[in-house]
Amino acid sequence: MDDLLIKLSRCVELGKTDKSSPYPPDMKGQDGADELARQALDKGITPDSILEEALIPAMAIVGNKFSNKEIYVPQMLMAAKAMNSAMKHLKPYFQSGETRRKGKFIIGTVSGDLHDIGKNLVAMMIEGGGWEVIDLGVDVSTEKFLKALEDNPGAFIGLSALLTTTMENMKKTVSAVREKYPASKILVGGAPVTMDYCQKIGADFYSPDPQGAVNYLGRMV
Amino acid sequence: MMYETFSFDFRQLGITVTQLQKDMGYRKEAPDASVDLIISEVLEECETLGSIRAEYRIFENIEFDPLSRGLKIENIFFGINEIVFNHLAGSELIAVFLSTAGEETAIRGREAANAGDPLKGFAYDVIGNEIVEGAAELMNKELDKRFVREGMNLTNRFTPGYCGWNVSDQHKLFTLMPDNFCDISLTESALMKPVKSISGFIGIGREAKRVHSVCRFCNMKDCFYRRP
Ligand code: B12
Repeated sequence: MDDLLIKLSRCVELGKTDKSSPYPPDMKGQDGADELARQALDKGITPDSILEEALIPAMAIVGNKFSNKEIYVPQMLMAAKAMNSAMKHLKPYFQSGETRRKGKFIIGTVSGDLHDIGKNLVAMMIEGGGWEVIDLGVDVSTEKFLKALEDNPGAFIGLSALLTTTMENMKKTVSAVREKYPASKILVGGAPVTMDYCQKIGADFYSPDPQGAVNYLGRMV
Repeated sequence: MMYETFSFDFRQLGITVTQLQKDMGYRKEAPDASVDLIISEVLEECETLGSIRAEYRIFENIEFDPLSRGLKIENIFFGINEIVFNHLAGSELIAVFLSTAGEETAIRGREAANAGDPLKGFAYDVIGNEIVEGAAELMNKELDKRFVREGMNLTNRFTPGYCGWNVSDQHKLFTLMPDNFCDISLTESALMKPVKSISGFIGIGREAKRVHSVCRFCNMKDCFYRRP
């Protein structure tokens, strides 16, 4: 693999966004994910290689470390920020269709619930896994989820809830989605959600952390 | 009916960098300097925060039901369940409380995240949690002072949604409070707005006891907020 990609991958993993980011201290003053992604493109490395060989693997390392409690939310967020700074150079290629992502993932916090921190983390990590994420925000009604699926046929869908009371609304959304789009794959998560509950309401997958969802989606393509 | 309302200044809460590091998951090892930098920045920015509030209302008309492990306040039944029942039973009075960090931390956190700084957004989220807990703790201290004079003690704070007490009891709890108490409203799905709010009961009585940590009664063994 090209040396630039190895460096880029390392910067994302460690959360080195750009030259001016002070962290990690031993990389102070060096190029970060932002500069390296630009250089890679200028050198003729394809956007696909940048995504597949540098960014996605780096985010997978980060996600796995988080699942294993080797790192905490802040490190995951720093990595996501570094990834975004590299991604912005790839955006034109996504838009032109020259580079394609693995698929689309619609996510939202269910109706009646306003918690977003967990949902946002999942959205970031799935984006880092190479997916196009459509984030519908919080307090998302079943109709809104259905509309998003109508606009993005074949998209995967993720529901988040933080209270047992709002988790009940998950059930309603899952049933409605199942009825209209029987083939769609629904992922659920959030503090009170369990594997049992996921099965009970007929969702397809539950994960206590973002990486579980990234791995599941990876198995689906 | 006895009640008291408090408005706190952020500095009174005494929130420290170390506490916020812990809330973010760091226990043994210290976080990177850049995380500390953001924590300090957010702590400083929070000094201007308003709307940190807490209130309690004391009820005398209470009745414990050992059979159902429930508690009636003003004839409204709360299914507090085994763990909470065992702690509250024997109380002579119940303080129903609400506390809130207001909307500001959430607004600022969202702004930071939208501006491309998700870590700062997260720091605001975590500080919001500390503020609401800190405000409840200060209110608790005032309550303590007031009742110690009368030879009474306090239990821990217990909240609907923990220890087998159903979160939907929030609806009943809110009927005991005047409308817009602390400017907190309750949605149909029992969610309080602002999000950074907590509610609950404190038992007051000669035999009441506060135990060191309530976490050991909770069954979320993997919770990273768990305290020993
Ligand atoms: C901090 C906290 C609070 C904070 C606010 C939380 C916030 N996010 O704004 C405060 C102190 C204000 C609070 C208040 C309350 N809380 Co609280 N709180 C917590 C605590 C300790 C951590 C939540 C958190 O922020 N986690 C960090 C984030 C990053 O994690 P997360 O949102 O769970 O998301 C992760 C995963 O779940 C997953 N995930 C999330 N969504 C999705 C979606 C998909 C598709 C997938 C795959 C994965 C996934 O990935 C994320 C990253 O790992 C939890 C216990 C716990 N350990 O989870 C209780 C908890 C959520 N609270 C609970 C309760 C009951 C309450 C109150 C009702 C108590 C009360 N009566 O006052 C109030 C309600 C507030 C309201 N507005 O109505 C219960 C909820 C369950 C229930 N019984 O309904 C919990 C689970 C505690 C418990 N022991 O039961 N709380």
